[in-house]
This record gives sequence, C-alpha cells and structure tokens, in this order.
Amino acid sequence: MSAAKTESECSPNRKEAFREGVRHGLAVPSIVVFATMLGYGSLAHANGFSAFEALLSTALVWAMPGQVAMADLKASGADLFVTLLAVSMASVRFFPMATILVGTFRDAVTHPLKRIFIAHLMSASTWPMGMAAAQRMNKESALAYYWPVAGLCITMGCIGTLAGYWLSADMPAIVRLTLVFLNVVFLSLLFALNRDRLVILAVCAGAVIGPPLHSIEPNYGVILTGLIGGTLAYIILGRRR
Amino acid sequence: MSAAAISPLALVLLAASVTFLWRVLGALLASKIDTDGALFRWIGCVSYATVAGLISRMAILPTGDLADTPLMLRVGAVAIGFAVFFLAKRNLLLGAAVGAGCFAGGLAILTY
Repeated sequence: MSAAKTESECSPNRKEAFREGVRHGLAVPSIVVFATMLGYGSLAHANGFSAFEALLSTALVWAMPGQVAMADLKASGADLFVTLLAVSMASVRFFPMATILVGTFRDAVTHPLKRIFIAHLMSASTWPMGMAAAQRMNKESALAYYWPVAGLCITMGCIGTLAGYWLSADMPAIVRLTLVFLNVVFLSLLFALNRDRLVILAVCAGAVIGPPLHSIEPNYGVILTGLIGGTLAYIILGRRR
Repeated sequence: MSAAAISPLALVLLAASVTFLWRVLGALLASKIDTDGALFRWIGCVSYATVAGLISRMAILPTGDLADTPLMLRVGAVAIGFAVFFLAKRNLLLGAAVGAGCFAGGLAILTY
C-alpha cells in the first residue's frame, strides 16, 4: 500500500511525462543524432544514393551502424548477400534490446503493432532513455515520455540526413570529406561510451582483425571479422557472468 | 551478385527488412526469453565486433574519396577525438567535433 502511494506521488502523470519527453527529446540526444546523420547523409551522397533513398534508409533502417555498413559495402563492391548479412549482424543487438524494452512496457502496451513500433523507434540513445523513464515513473507515464523522445530523435535524424546530403552536394571537397569522415569518428566514440568489459573486448577484437581480414578476403572479411572477433571475445570474457 | 547490381532503393528496402526482422522478433518475444543468457551474450559480441571491424577498416582502408587522404591524418584525428572525449568526461559531441575539426584542418594544411 505504502509502495503504491509512493509511486503515485513520485510518478508524473502522462501529460507531465509527455512534456518532459519533448524537452529531453529536443536536448542533447537529438543534437547527437542530427550530427551523426549529417555524416551518414554525406556518405549516402558520396556512394550514389538519391536524397529520397538516404532519407528512407534513416527512417526505415534507423540504425546508424547498419546504414553505414550498407552504404560502404555497396561502394566497395561487396556481394549483395554479404552486404545484407553484415547489416543484419550489425543490427542483431536490437533483438535483445527490443526484448528488454518492450518487455518493460508490456503491461502498458498490448497491441502487437504498437509494440513493434516501440521497437522500431528504439536506438542507441532512445533505449536507455526509455529504460530510465520506466525506472522512475509508472509504465503509462514512461510510455508517454518515450513517444516524444523517440519521435523527435528519428525526426532530427531524418533532417540531419537530408542536411548532410545537400551539404555534400554543394560544399567544397574538404567539407564533403570531413562529413564522410565524421561517420568514422562518431561510430568509434559511440563504442567508447560503453563500459561493459565484454563489449569493449569485442570492439577491440573486431577493430584489430578487421583491416587485415579485409585485405586477405575483401568480400567476406566483414562477416569473418564479426564471427571471429566476437567469438574470441566471448570465449575470453563472456562464458561466465 | 554485387550489392551495386540492384537499385539503391531495393538495397535500402532490403537493409531495412533485415534490421526490422530483429526488432519485430524482439518485440514479439518480449520478456519470454532470458536476454542475459549465453546465446545473447555471444550475439552481442558478434554484433559489436562486426561494426568495430567495419569502422576500423573505414579508417585504415577506406573506399571512395577518403582513400586519397593520408592514413596518418585519419588515424591521428580519431586518436585526438578519443583523447578529447575522455578528457571532457566522455563528451560525445565535443570529441567528434574536435576529431572532425582536426581532420578538416589537416586536410586544409595539406591541400594549400
């Protein structure tokens, strides 16, 4: 009884939670998403996608590593099968992430399509925000918070993609190259945000064996890197928890 | 068949499908499986290693116009970005801005 009372006192109602979500959605995460997608838009331009295709890939894939893999492997002449397998391997972490996030909201959302929509809007920045909200609010309020946060982030991502695409078309070579290079900087720093030792080891293993494996086997190099690097990290640190 | 052989639009739709698949699977199986189990830990490792390998290859052996820039400039700019990121208490925007800024500055010096 007292626990329920505490929750209703501390937890904002849905309207308050929604407003907080709008405020948080417009702050740092959406600026980060905008900046990362600025780089992706330039990469898409450099690798022969139209503005519409670039926008569509951000809205429908909504996973920067997968999008960068798609654009880069297309340009490097990899097999279609290898490209899609690499995109899929880059995005497979959404499986456990969606299981956890949707599982957290399962009582607030029963419609399967709505659950899938929660999973689609999920990204490296919106997932922790949704999880944190579910910790400090009741589930209905946390969901009212998640929708604007996630909706604003994907909107800013789409705007950033188009901005990067069009900047690339008109700007001098230095700006174009720097925007494409921004993909490399952002994705490597995103890894550095992680504090899990197992993830850090997997990242280091992949980063070290990636370039040599690509030289030996240009087509399947990226797949072999993931399988060998990931399995190696798992054998060293992942078997016991 | 090369990925460049199909239309870019088809490639985007296929890439979206293979990503969406994992999200849908996760949403439908929500809280019915143990996400901390051995299989998921291995899957996570493979996923992170794949992306890390791709990014490190893009920095060291890039395709396209980036291939014409010096290796030391690319690696140096990433290293400076990392240093600033950690010095600024893991500030992602600052680290990325300084890293990209160093790259642009280096290119400007080399070009002119």
